[in-house]
Amino acid sequence: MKKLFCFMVLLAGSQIWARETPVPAVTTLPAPVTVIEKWGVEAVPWDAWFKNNALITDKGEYVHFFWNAQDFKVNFEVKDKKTRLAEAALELVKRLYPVDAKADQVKVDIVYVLERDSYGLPKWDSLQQVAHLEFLRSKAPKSVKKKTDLTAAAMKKVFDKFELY
Amino acid sequence: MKLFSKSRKTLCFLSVEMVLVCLFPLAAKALSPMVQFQDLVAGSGEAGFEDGSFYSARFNGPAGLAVSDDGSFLYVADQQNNRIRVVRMDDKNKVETLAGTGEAGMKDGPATQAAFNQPTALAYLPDDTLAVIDRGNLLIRLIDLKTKMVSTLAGGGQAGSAEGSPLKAVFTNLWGMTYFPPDQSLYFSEPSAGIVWRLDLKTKTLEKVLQANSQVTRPGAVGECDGKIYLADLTLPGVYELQKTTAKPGPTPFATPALAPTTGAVSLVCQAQNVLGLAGWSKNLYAYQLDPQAPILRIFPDSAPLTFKSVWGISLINPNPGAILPHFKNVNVGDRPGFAADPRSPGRFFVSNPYRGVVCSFRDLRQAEMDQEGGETIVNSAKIHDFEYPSVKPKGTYRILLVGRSYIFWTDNDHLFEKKGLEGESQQFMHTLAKRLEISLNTKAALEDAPLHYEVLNGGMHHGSTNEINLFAYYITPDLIKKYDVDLVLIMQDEGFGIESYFRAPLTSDGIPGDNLDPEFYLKPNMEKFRSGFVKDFFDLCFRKKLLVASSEKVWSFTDIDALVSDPEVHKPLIEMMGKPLFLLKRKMTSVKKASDSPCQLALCYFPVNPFTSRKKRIFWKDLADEGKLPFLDLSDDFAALGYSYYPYSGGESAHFTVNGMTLFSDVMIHELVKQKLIPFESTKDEVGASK
Repeated sequence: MKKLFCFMVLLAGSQIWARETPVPAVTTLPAPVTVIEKWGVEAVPWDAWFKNNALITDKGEYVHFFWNAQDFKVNFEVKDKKTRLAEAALELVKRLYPVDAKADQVKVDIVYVLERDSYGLPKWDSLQQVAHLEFLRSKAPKSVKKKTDLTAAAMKKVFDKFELY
Repeated sequence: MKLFSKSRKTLCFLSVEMVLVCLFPLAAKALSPMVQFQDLVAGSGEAGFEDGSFYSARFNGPAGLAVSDDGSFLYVADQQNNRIRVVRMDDKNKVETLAGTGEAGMKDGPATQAAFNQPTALAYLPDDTLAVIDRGNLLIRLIDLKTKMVSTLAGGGQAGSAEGSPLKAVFTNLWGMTYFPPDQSLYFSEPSAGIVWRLDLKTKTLEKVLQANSQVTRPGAVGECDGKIYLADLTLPGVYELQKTTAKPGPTPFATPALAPTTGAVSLVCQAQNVLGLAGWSKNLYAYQLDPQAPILRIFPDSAPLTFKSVWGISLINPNPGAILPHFKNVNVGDRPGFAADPRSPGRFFVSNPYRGVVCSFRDLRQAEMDQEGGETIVNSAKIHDFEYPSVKPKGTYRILLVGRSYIFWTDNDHLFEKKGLEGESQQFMHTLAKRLEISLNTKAALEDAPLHYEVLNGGMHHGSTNEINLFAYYITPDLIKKYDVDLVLIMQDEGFGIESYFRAPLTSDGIPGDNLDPEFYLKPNMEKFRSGFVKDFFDLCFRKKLLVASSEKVWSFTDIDALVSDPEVHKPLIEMMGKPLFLLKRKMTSVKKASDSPCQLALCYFPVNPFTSRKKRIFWKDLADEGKLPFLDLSDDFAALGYSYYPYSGGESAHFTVNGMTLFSDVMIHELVKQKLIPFESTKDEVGASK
């Protein structure tokens, strides 16, 4: 009985020791999210939303945009999700297209990375794909001001590919 | 019959001690001075006069300081001893007497026979001479350091003499002094007359460069930085730049400031209170001010008070009760503490404390910026969690860079702080393995009289969610080796195994994953990421052997690390895959240009966090090190033997070492580093208490 007890204690101890990937305990709070009550392209602080959340890669033939919209998720999980994501993609490309890039084609992936580690870095294995869009910059509208600017028909014209996950 | 009663034993023991004391009354311990953050340079702290080792030498009111150009001699104006002392920085800070008999008086001639009357300020001059403000005699004296002869440079004239000939001048009092290389002149202040003088050492002429100025009525501290002269009033606030003026006033009687016309101009550069000294290096200027909460103010480049903390992270400046640094304690208005920059260690300064009879040093390592603030990790300019060490390595310094996961820098120590409500204090940089190792190595070197100083840089990996230390090391290490002139890189390998990077970025031409996340690549299913080649073959093999499992199309992980590392078929390709970044790093390191020509060594250190761990992993890492011909430090046995006793692991939620666990960790590492001769460490002692 005593031996069994010792074995159990050792086993429990070894389980604690055996954790492979320790993660520091301090957690970073996500940035405060602004809920846009009355949605409109001009009402959204796009630059702040894209800052530290977007990665842009010039692939030569096209430019790839990647935006982690996790902190602003609440603004997209609404009825007109598709339109808002389209607006976000257009703003992303408009504001962050690299100065020295040449490609007309752009590809945009919008994702939610559900967790961050203690350093504030996204935990990639918690990534959830939200939307994938492809379009030509030359075909993109210069600005989207009215709701009617991005009707279903207009979106079909602008985006060569628009997948919602 | 009892031969030894308990009391008799005590008596015998005491007798032996007494005999030892009688036999070796002066057998001083051989210790080497420490160079950490705030250190003792010389002085026992007891007022008196005694030459000798840095910790037993005695001063009486040490004031002005000056350092030879090469930094090997630190000169001290030992005010109340009426002597000029010298600290031999290359000989364990041994203290000697340079000039002065000790009797207050005025006598030129051979240094040992010369007399001074309260020397207070010093300036080292490029022709290996030393200028001395001889406060009691109201003279500027000159010591030729080659011939050891003392002469008089300025003062001693008749009242009413004009400027021009320095030996005809009469001063009413003298305060600060600095040598200014651009015009090869000595600038010194005469507060009671409101004058700053310039003594041209080429032409041996004297002129007033400031007089009767309304902003600086009683000029005291004078300093030089980046081709400009700075000064401060003895009582009024502010540090000023001396403006160059072309208008030369006519002859002016000495000691009659009230009647003197205004000469020169100044411009305010910063607000500082009761400035006692100014010192600079390169483009950095610092003021020693009479402010117990901010005794040292960095004026240039960014105007910020220096933070002083103990190596344990405790604030050493008010309002922490009773913890004011001995460097500055009791210094008051009118005192003349010395303040000088160390020419061979940028950011290091010497200060004297006349009250405490000591000469100390401190380093501006911008410690405050290095703490964790609000849960965010602060990194230095090289993006590592460490101090702003100067790129130029101080002479005699051996630099080690530790690269590893959070085990080497994160400590579980909330239990030490939570009762005091100081949880925010719990992550201190001084608790990291790097700093523990640095402190322990320097302590060992000091106590064993080894002539080396160690700096250990914390290259802790801040990609919290990946395990690939070798890959991280490959990308960050070469730049760090170059920037900090690193001598040894230690890859701190724990039990973790990771392959995540292979799914985040395409392989480079070297066959290792790229450094930056390629989101588009990452978003592909893993199966599509490797069409052919070594990596695909390896993953196929692991799947076939059920050593790899896909929990989703983008998340693959090993099922059983022990089985993985010991599988004979997988062993070799796994070594190739895991070892490749290190083998490439080793090759890359040979072409890294460092400030010193000394080579940088790469070694692998394996430490199991879990002392119950199997031996299979250590064998794997040993085989990997052998494959890459890397020195291998295996701490497994040490941890297994000592781990139960010390229990370094917190057992808490975040599963890291405790603060005390880090101490065990560093002790074990030092033992292995010295045993394997991976670091230079040679004690000069042959017997206890004696130096070779």
